[in-house]
Amino acid sequence: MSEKPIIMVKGLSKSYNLNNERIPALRNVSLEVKQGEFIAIAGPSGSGKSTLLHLLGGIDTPDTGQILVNLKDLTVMSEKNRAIYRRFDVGFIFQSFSLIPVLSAFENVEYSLLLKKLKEGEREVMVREALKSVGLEGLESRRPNQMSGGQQQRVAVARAMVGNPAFILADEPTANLDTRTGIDLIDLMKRVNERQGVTFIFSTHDPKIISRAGRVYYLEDGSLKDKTV
Amino acid sequence: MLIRLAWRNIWRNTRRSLITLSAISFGLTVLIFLWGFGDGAHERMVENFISISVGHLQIHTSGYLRSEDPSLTIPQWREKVERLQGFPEVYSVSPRIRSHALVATPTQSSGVLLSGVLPDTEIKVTRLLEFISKGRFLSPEPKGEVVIGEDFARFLNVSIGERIVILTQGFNGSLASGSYEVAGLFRSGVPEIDRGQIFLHLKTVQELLSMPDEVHELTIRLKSSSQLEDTRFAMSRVFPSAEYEIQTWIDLSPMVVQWIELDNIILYIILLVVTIIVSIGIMNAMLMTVFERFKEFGILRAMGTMPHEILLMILLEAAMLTLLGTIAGIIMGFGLDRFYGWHGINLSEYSHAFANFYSGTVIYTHVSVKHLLQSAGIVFIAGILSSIYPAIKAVRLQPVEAIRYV
Repeated sequence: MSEKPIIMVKGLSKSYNLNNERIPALRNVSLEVKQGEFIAIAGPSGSGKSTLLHLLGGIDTPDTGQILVNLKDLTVMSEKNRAIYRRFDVGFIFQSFSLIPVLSAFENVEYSLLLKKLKEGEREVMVREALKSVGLEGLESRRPNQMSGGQQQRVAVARAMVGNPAFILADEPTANLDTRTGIDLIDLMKRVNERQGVTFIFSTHDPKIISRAGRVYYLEDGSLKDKTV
Repeated sequence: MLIRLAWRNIWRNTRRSLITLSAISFGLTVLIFLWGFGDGAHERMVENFISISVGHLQIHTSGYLRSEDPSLTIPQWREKVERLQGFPEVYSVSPRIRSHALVATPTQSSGVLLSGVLPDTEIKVTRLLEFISKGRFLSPEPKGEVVIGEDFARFLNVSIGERIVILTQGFNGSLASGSYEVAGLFRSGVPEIDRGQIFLHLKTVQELLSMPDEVHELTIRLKSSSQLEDTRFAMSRVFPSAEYEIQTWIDLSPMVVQWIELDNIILYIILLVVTIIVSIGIMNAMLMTVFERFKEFGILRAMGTMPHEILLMILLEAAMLTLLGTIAGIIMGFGLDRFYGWHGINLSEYSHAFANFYSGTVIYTHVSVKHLLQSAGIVFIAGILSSIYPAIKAVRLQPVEAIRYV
């Protein structure tokens, strides 16, 4: 694991409008993530976990603060540059139902490489490798509705990691899975993290999942409360 | 991948896509059929108008049509017919002599236009021979015969073999009259001709009018209507405008062209209405599709898909859907057009409504390539344009909002 942080967050705040009232979602959050870390963002519902991941992923912008990813400041990027950032630097895993239903497992994973404009031969090798590493060899042609929730999330993991992004953000990836499947998914993510050195930042409120993280940031009412190593 | 995605997305909700496809194809089918009806009727109208009696072109001595002065005959007409036959575009030339006359029987009388024709050449220029419903057409040699319309015969209460009296003004202003045997009855379907025109041998009329070897009109049939203006231009060099008037069937009856134009305007209005209905259908289907997939678009945006790529994806989807509907519409519409083009649509029950339109009472649909492509093209483009609004809605969606969308 490199000692140099790939993500540096300083004084991040974000609030939303609700019935003409500003509701704070994140308050002055600062954190650092190093290459190869396996980090959990823990906290109860509404604590700001998803907001933090969305801001790190460049799909939302903060009110104040700075997000540096490999020394690139996300907060000053244009929407177009943030889209390019998401395309090349970030892998996303969402709660569930995040696969494109009309595409097969192979095509879902391939889509992210298409965005990176990789050639067909190259894509084929990378997709098969990614699906193999999440244990879905032989299920390439299945559509999401032909797979279990756990298998679908594995495809999502393969899709997130396939283009070698700087890090992967997973927003409550186990939320819609049963406990056993959820733990298996986190163990899979952990294996990918250990074997391939992929940085993972995932949010959860499940203590069993939190216990598998290398480091945990706790959020409560939008503020960072504690961190463990 | 975008094409694959668009294609598969169409079949995500098969029922909705089939309903949209049906709306497009049915709308287009109706349009093509209507154009086929219109084009077929117009084609027949023009063809009938030309072939019933007018021909493609007519040549008169200057001033004849305006004054109908019987003395304005065409000098050396035989030589002129020969010269006209030399034009490669000319199929046949029929010399005619004309006069207004009164036809009388013991019980009835009526005014008519008297046409003296050479039977051999007349049947090459007009379809009079085809229109004979009883008896026969004029003999090649003059035998004191007359051919009249079936309706006119009913009015005069005469039948084949009976005689009618024709009274007219001779060339020198004297009263000219003669009794002629009805050799045949014709039915062209056009009351103006069936009730108002009678045909005799050219020589018979020349004798009646005391105008030996004179004609008023040279009626020309071309090999193809498309050569009309070019031929007129070429003929104008042989028949100088100071002495002769060369008129096309359009000059002789601009009303026919105006009817066609008016009909086409009505059909364009129907095209507009159908296009609007189809557009609303497609917009509705695409809006539903976009709303259902807000979260999916959010995920695609989160993965780095650019807004223009989402726009392209939706437009491609609409284009494919519309293209399928358009192809189905062309096949069904053209099929229907060919079916009724072969079997015809019998509207004889409404014959009174078509009586003056030269189209006949059986309409043979025949959509023109121009109108077929125009209708298909407009429906296709409208389909794509109507998906722009739903596509913009998807593009404007912020990924973070879309992901939260349930």
